[in-house]
Amino acid sequence: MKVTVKSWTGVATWRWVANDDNCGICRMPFDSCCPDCKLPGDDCPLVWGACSHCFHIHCIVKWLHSQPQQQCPMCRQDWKFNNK
Amino acid sequence: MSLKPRNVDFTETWTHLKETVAGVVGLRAVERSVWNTRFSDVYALCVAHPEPLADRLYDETKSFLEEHVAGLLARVRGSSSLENNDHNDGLLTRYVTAWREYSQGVAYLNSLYSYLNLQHVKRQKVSDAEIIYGSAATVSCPENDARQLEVGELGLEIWERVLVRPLSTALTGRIVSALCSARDSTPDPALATTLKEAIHSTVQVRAFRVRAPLQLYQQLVLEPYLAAAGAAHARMAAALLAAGDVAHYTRLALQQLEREVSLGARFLDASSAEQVRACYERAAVAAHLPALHATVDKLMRDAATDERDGQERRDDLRRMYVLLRPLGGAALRPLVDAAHAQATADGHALLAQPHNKDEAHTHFVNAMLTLHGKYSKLFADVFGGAQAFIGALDKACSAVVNFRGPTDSCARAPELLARYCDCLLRKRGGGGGGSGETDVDEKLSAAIVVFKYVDDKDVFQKYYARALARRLIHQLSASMEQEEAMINRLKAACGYEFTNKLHRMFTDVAVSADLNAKFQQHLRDTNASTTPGFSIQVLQAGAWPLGGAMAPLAPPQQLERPARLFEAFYRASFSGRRLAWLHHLCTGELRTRYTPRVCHLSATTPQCALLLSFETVDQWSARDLRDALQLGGDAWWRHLRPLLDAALLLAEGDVGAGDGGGEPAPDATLALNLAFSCKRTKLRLTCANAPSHQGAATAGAGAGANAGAGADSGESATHCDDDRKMYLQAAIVRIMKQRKVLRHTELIQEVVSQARGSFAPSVAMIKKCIEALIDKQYLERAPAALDTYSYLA
Repeated sequence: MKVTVKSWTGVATWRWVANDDNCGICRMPFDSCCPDCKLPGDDCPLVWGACSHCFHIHCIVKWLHSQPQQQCPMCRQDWKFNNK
Repeated sequence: MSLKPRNVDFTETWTHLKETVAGVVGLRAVERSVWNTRFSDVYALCVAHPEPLADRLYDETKSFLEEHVAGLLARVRGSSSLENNDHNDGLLTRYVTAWREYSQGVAYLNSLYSYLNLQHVKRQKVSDAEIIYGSAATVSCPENDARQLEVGELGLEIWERVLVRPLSTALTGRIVSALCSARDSTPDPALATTLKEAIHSTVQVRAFRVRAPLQLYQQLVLEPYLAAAGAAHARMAAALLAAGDVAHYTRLALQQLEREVSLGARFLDASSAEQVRACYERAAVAAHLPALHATVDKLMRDAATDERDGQERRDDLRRMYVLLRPLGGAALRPLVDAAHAQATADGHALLAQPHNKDEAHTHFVNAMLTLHGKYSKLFADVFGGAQAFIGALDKACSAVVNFRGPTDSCARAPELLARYCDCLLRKRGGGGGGSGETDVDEKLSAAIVVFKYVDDKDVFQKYYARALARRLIHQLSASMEQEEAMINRLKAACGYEFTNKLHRMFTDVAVSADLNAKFQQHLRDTNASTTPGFSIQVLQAGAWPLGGAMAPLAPPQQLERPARLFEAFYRASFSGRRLAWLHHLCTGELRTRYTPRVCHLSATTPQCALLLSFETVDQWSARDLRDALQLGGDAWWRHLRPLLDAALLLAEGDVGAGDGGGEPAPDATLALNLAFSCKRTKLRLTCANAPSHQGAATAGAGAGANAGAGADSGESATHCDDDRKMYLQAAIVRIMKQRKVLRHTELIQEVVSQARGSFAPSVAMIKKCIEALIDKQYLERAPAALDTYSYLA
């Protein structure tokens, strides 16, 4: 071995993986936060429904609270959180 | 004797009573039994049957007293001519003697008539409420109303009417001339007492009145005195100014003010202290303001020097401040302006002092701290830390801090200050320095003092965040506690919004440490092995000032495996997140085994990859190597150059490692320098600067640290401008959303006040932002008024 690796510190950034760029409810990019939050990231996470649609958690919770039926605002299927 | 009302012969009783009254008022001895009888007589007269005789008694007493006082008047006047104002002619003395006797006598008389006072007069007295809220009738003129007074009061009223009025000019003239001579030389005690009593008699004689009790005193003593004193002060002040310089004037003027005030306190009524002082200030100081103001600039300049002279000038200034302060803001303004100008000029001079270019940040902060410390002390010392001067100092400091030369596009303060903090918070190399932790803490707290004056706080934040990112990622921080304390200080100075990204970065590092531990555990659980010493930092994309574009890289196998393992682990732990490697920020530590002496290298991942590629061969074609590692574009030359500079690799032909890169020539080759040697056993390689967010290189391999500095600050300025526009537009929309319709000037004001916390926006920029918002149809100009905007929902 000419050169051996003694240690290595990796640096990586993370961002959300979503099927769309913007939240369908608030129309803000997923990379930024919902209108009620100040900082994107762990404080304003995304959630996926069983129907594969994705929203800011604050947005969808607000939506579900305001609706008589628990439906996805994009496809009108019954909303279920996808906990995979 | 019986208390029953009965028939009384008024004339007879009054004859007896009058005798006693004359005795009492003249302070002659009155027998106890006589006194008691007369007391009963008063009672008997008041309750007399069939008709009470109280009114008649009152009238008789009144005319008796008038007569008595007229006699006293003749005695007091004596032979003196009333026209001259010689206070030594005995009139004052006679007046005071008569007053002493009479005032005491009347007080006794008051007791003798207490039944009359209580039963008969009280009922007619005006209540306080009537006086304050009163009916017009009672308010009109207490002098002329025929209302009955208590006998004591009646006596005083008669004294004033019968004795004081005729003598008023004579009394006034004598009192004023006595006071004036008392100012220049201490009067003999007898005269002093006489004077004092004479003056106080004018107060006492009206003390019982609810309305304007001091009127007589003011007419007779205070006003004439103040007029005379004012003229004297003016003469004296003019003489002082003519005789010497301002220092001389302030010293003596203050002494005289002291004397004047103590004179007033000694002789005049306590209520006039304020007026006496104001009179002096008006006559002696306010009249000469221009002359005083003309000297403040020079005084201030001299007072700021440390020479022997300075102390005296400071004393002069202090005295001048004491003299000018009561005259209000307008009189002090030139003093405040001079203080401001002096501090500003001194600040510029301090900053302009020659200094080492590399130490510019230390020089800057130290100069500012010197300036601030010096003038805080000076102003506290001389002006008692008055608000106006603290304000002037603040203004001066912020003018100096934010000063930009004609050629600078923006002030350098934010950058210098951020660099200063960075140097303090960074690990000191080689354990030198010797400055303890408390020392660093103090310096950082002091830096906050300077920070508060920086207008472009957002620019500072950019520089600071970048430096903090570098410290955190490369683990260069001297101590995490200090880092956190500093962020908290910034938060205290500027609020949560300012530091939330910094906090975020901080938590990311903490979370990463946690994640590392979990990952190691996971590896042990799954029996997978990785390179020893693998650790990772996972950062949140938005919070770090790291730039976006990631150069692709095919990492060498030794490094790829742990990276893949970690990616898998991360995906399992957090759903919905995508990791992106920042290869130029990763650091690997390598040990060379081909060199004569073992050498430890710390390098970025691509550099590790480059070196590891020479495992099997000693020479690569530059183009092949690049393609093998998939180092495209900038990444190639930026990572290669430090290796060439440190002579770890040897290039032959154009390998494309010049500034701005370029295509490697087809025949160019790179060879491993097998004879590599270095004085140090540890070597740190960084990537060369490029127009990206990688800041100045750290010390060590000297990888073109200066090349990028200029481009760096220019680039950050435009970046900052964009941020500011966004900020301003957001602020405008927020304001307009709330107000709906707003005039142009008010809108500008509100925006400026909102933005002040992080930067000082230019009006031109706000206007541009308004234009932009009108184009985007957030706002429109109101059709009726040209200077008004309205919000379009």
